[in-house]
Amino acid sequence: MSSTRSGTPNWLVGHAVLVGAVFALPGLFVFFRAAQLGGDLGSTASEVVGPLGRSVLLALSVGATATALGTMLAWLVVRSDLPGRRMWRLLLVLPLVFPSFVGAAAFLTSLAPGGLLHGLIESVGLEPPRRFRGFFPAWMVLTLFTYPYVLLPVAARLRALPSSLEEGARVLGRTRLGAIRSVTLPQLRPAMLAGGLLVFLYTISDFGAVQLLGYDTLTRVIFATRLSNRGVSFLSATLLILLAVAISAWARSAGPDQLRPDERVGRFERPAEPLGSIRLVALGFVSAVALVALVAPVLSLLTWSIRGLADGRVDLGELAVPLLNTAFVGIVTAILAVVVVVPLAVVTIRHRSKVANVSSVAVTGGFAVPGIVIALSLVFWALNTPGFSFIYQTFPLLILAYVIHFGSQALGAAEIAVRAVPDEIRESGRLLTPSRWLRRRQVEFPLMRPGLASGAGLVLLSTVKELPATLLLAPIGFETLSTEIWGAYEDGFYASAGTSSIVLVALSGLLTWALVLRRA
Amino acid sequence: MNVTQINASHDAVPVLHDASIVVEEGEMMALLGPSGCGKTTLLRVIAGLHRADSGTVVIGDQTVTSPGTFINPEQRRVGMLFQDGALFPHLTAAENVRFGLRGRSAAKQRTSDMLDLVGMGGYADRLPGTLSGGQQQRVALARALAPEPAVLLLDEPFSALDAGLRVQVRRDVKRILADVGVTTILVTHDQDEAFSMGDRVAVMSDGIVVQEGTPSELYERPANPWVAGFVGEANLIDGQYDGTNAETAVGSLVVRGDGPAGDVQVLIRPEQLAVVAGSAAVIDDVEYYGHDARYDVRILDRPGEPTLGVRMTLAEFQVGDRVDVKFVGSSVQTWPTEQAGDSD
Repeated sequence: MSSTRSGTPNWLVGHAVLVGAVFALPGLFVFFRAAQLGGDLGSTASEVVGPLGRSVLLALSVGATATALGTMLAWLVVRSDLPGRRMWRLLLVLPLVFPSFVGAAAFLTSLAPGGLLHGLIESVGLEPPRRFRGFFPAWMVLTLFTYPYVLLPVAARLRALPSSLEEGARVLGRTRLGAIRSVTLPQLRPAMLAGGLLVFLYTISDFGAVQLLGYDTLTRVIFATRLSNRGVSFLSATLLILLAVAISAWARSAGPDQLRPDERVGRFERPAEPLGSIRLVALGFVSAVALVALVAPVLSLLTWSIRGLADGRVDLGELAVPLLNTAFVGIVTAILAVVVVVPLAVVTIRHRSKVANVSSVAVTGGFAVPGIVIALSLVFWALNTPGFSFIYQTFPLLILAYVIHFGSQALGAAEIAVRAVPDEIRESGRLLTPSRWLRRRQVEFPLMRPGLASGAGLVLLSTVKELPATLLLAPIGFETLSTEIWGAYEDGFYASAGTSSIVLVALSGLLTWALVLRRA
Repeated sequence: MNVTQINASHDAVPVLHDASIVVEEGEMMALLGPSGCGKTTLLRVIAGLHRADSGTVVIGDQTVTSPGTFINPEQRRVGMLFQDGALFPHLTAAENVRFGLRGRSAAKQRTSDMLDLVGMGGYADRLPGTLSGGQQQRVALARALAPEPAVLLLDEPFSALDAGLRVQVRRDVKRILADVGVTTILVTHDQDEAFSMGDRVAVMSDGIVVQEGTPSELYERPANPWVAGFVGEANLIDGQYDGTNAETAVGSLVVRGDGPAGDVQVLIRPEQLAVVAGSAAVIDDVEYYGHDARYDVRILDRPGEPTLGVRMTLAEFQVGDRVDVKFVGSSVQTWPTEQAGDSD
């Protein structure tokens, strides 16, 4: 470090300050507007107490069930002798590819007259539920599509856990269950906590599913009141940010250093734990999860889609423009996000700059701030700042919102990429050639490329699935797959919504496979 | 302890073939073999962490593994020291030691006694992550010994340590185990470690226990040329055996034991040879070690034969010097040439 620490170039520091400021802008603007409420605060607050409670209740419930479900499934697919566990390992991660609003829409259209589940229930002589709204549907749908956020880190941890820990506990007199409880679970806690935190943040940020399922959380309130009652909107936005900050701080304090993941890796491919008599029960359980979270939604979307294509109501050609638009904004956002955060990663890691650390926190925080809050803030900031109103409903503002929202994913990957070029390698490059450009091109960039590519890919994936910011900020007449699905569903064109959803899910699945599954 | 005719496999690939060993009460048995020979699997079968396909394991008077019997590892009264220590990272040193003492009276006293025994009394409240590798292994040893196991199993416990530290920890562990007097099996691929720690050594190869004996028996009377080479440097040269002596390039040597006359392979350890100024051979290489030196010597009228390794306390020759090779040992081990060829 000593060779590079002195003399951080000014432009890097300046860049870090600017990036930090831009990423902090939406949050600060929301606080600023909420502070202006003044005397109205009391009456406004009474309107958001209910939604706040519902947001917290839903996020805690989904967080708890997704953590339990994800951990159980991870153990089954990694450690047990579940039949076909390689296949399950892949299948059970796939619900990740559903944006929550597509998942919710799949259930709703499936239960609507003409839908798959509706027909199925009728065919056995039962009355299909007339409404699928409120807490329980929202809880169920969000759990089904978020548990992979827990399954992935817990499965990775389970795979890396040295077999000697559990075996040591066995030899010291613990039963199988006793060893799991006293040794394995404490080792999984950080991964469970990290995954559960993601699910919690995802749930309080979620707009699409709660909007479709009619559960009045803070995000839904923001969407409903953004034009009519801005005080309520901004107070709700403030509460969402505080909620995200509070839960992140709690997770940080609950996972102190002693629970830092143990990085040692086991030597043996461990023998699988025999499930014995509950093997069939376990198989039924994972099958049920896959059926409800993956097969049923896909089939539901497909039936509507095929019906629409068959009778000519849906024209695949009409999807070309939204698809291209989606790809376009996704790619621009991905490249821009990486370009913006790489200098920041360099300055935090190589120069250990304090200024840059503050900026990094601002960038990381962007992930916890719900997309609808970022969008709300940018809309009113642009409209109310003299000289900036021209930017409202233009590409730059939409892309800016995306970059702020998803920049943290690029930053995480960029930090890994910068660490992939250790000082010794840069120093030996320096001894071999004086050309800085040559070193960058032949040494540093090739080493950083995998990290940067995965960062860009994650941003691309998130952007493609994004809904609320796109709804609020997209230029008029600019259709992406998300807004197309949303519009079609709202207008009752289930066939069209189904077809666009299939395309979006396929695109998202392709990206997920390339980024997450291929490596894991 | 009796381990009889164990067969075991990993994912249907057999790794142990009728492996058998006997360990006397209070004895330290070293299981020595190259990596992949099945020694760790045998240890895990004894601990109950791996199910054998067939065979019997008897600890004391309790049969823990046999056709139709499988005692769970937690009921075997076996202690185990893993390669990486396997301390539970979320528990302190004392909590780790106490882990196996659940429900016992005076567990607290026993815990501090065990930590004192391994010289870690001052580290009771430290988390494993804050201890050095050697300290972690000491705590792991205290943890394994605390429940007074009938057998202690050591799975390459020193291989993760630095070379300098390894010898020190090894000595300490040997002293502690001698004090405690627990029956022990040590798995290692390091011949130095096996010889310095083990009262007896069992050499394994390809899932079979090839030979069992004291270190000196193994070194001086190896069962076959492979064992000879595995437990130390071996010069294997051709000779003609006449019933008492073998004629070789370094003279007529007295043969231990008996066998059919004819062509034989002769085992000569490097310290059984010496070089003096002469003409029949030439020094190809010199490795100087301080306490002794090793020469690579090529006998001139035997082209195509491997060079001989010679170890002497004096290092008076240089590369290129002309010398004669003399046998300075008492007797040698031989194998009929065909048999030696088969076992390669």
